[in-house]
Amino acid sequence: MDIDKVQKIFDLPARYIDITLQTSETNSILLKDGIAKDIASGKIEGISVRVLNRIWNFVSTNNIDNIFSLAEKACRGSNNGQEIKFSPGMPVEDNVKIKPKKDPLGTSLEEKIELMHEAEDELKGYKEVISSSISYADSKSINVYLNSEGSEIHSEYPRTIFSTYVFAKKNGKIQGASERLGGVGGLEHLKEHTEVSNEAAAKAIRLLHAGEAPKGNHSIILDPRLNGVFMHEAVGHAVEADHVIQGESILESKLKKKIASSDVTLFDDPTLKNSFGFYHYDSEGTKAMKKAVIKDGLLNTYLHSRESASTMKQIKTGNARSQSFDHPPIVRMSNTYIEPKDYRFNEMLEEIDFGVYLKGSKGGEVDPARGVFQFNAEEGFLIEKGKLTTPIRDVSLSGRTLEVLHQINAVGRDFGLHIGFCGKGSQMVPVGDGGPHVRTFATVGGTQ
Amino acid sequence: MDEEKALNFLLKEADEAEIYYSNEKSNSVSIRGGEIEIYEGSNISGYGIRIIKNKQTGFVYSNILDKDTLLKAFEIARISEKDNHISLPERKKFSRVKGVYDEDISSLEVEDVLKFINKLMGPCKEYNVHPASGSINWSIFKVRVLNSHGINVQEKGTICSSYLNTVAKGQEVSTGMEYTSSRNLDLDFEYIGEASSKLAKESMNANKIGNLETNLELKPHAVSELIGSVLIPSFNADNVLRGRSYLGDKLNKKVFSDFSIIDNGKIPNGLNTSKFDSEGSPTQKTPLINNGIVEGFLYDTYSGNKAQTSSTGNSQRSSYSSPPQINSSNLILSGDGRIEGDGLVVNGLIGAHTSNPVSGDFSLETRNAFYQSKPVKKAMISGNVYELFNEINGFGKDVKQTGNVITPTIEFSNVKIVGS
Repeated sequence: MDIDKVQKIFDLPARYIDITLQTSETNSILLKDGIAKDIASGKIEGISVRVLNRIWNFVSTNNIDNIFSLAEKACRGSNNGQEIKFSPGMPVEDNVKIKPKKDPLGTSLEEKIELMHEAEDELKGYKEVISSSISYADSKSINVYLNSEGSEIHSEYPRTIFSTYVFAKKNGKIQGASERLGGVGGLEHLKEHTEVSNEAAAKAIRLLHAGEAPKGNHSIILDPRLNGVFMHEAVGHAVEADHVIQGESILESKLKKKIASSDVTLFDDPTLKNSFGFYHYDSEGTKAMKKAVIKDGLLNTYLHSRESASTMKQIKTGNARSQSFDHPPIVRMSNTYIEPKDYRFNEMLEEIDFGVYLKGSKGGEVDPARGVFQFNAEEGFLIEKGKLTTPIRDVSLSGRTLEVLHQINAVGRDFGLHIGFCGKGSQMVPVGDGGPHVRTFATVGGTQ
Repeated sequence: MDEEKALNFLLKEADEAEIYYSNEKSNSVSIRGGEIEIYEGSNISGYGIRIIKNKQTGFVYSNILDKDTLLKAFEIARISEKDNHISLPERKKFSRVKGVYDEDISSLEVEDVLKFINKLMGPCKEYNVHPASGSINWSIFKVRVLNSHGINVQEKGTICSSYLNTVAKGQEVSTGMEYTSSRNLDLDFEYIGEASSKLAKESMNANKIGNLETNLELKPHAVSELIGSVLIPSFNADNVLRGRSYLGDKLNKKVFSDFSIIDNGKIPNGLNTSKFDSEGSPTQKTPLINNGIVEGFLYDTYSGNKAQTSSTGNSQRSSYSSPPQINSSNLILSGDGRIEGDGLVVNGLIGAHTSNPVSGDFSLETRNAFYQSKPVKKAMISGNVYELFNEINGFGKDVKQTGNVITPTIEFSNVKIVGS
């Protein structure tokens, strides 16, 4: 896209303007029960202009000829309402590009389909497996970010994702389970594609034999993946500064106060190379940075866009992200994880007389204003007298953010980071969730 | 090139070809902390192209119809694997649908919407609650489907939707929310504001409850959230044909209490109402459950071929860039029986998407729950959706369109509640 052509947008009367030009190419393949018949490919080019006068106006289109009239209208419309606070920034010029080790665009469709068949072949060894969906997708987005302060940032990110969803059946009961791989980069992320298939199949079969979860308040251990989702849902959304400003966060006016057990140091870290929540600059040109959201149990910072940092007179943290050119940047997380401490998994177990070990995540949701969360584990095991015993299924957890954070009484020494997608305000962005194993108390919902 | 030319170009090589076009002009005004935050406007259009050659298919999308894009569809079709059930729909008769386009929405200006925003936030003062976040969105869209079997249909539509989240602060914080959408500019913004405010206010000073088994009244939003994740996928023919649906082997069997679900793609003013689906098949009324008996499933052209039946007009696309998939249009739930009351009343659910779509098991946290008319601090409901709908006590009269579900409040008996 032509950068010179859009420069004249900066002549419009405004306090601040930024422009995002984006070209994104995607390829996806779906192998349904062994047949690769659903293959899609395409390209979108688009542009957005965000204008600030009194309030924000954001316009976008995938037909660049429309943008000038849209932008003009945006300038007129942004003179309503109460004036939004927005501190000036320094111009940034940069060019950042992630090169995949094995480039999806340089790899033939045949080779990608072959990978998927290899993963599917693994499932043939399990007689309970009745159906599978294996999906592959790669994307490359090329972005140019310009603003009226003189910033010009070019960036390029390839992303690759692979997942296996397996259904197993026995005695009239059906269960499904999935596993996925991927990250910023290319096919180098898919080395374990056959392992992923085996793991998904084994999990689906375990669920067929699993019992029901014991309902009530219990001592629980969360695996790294579920711990990551827990921190993301229960804490992460409540430290997004837009929620705080709106009066929709349980962590309002808790800065520098103790909100968790002193074993807890929680990071938001977009600088982890090749992770799913990786970026160099956020969607309004602020440099990405690793920061402790909770430090030794104290709330250390909120997550900010330029606007929220200006409103709250705090330091911007580079957390304004948008799904794509046609959405305005809003405050989002990147990679969320607790810093590992010293507990071994066995030590955590030994100290529990009766409890539940929860593994994997089917997602979650939070009401950040009340601090009430719900999330669901893919599978679980009972803990009895310090040992893992019966497998259980459909284990969900709910609790109050502050109570559960204070009750964390063991943080593991291990670490895992997993890929995820986070939805907020009708925008989905790629994120990473992880950390070590942790132990706390929460309400387990089950049918038993 | 234009759409007709592109279709002719594709047909030089392809056995069958389809061009889907959509244009959407969408607008919104959002508020944050009681102040207007942002106006958004977008104009997005593009094409989704499918070709079939030797029963192999390729899908490409782009915002322009150029030769490179069209040729890419052939490149994909050459590699994709053959399936004899692949085909595009034949031309059928279409009947008219009502209430899908409203001139008042298409001529809305930001200035008008700012007045609506005041109406939306107005009731907050009276209830002494804080308007935390909300928005009014309105969009005007055009869709066209053109295929090599002579389908050439187009339609324009409008949608206006609004929500308001409110917060009430006492000893503890309580929240309220309300959202509504319509194809016409008939939304009662003051009602949305009032419903949200009232819910936040009435949820203050909540009490703890213990574990119990009781009647459960799910309000329309909660019904919609629950069945969207766990019941609706089991009517999808793709799941049925692949052995993944709990209801797949229960056609013509009585599985539920006496109640009905109809998928109706033609209901006037329905959020998903249209004359044709995203492959250009006519939409229709499909009974899914009648008096507790499973009567049908939802098909697109491919799954219709595979099951030796025909499409029910349930092919949908989330955008021009997505290949078509089976989905429900407007689901209408109805039944007899009266609500007994006295149990747990739940206005919304947290984390409904984490339920088990295959087994139907769920255990979910509730939003704005009341037990014997008093607000409840924390309550999880758990059970199995197939068992739940076999334990229906009765239906309310408060029918609402929420998402693509049209339902009144439903009461179920003997539901397990985990308190705190």
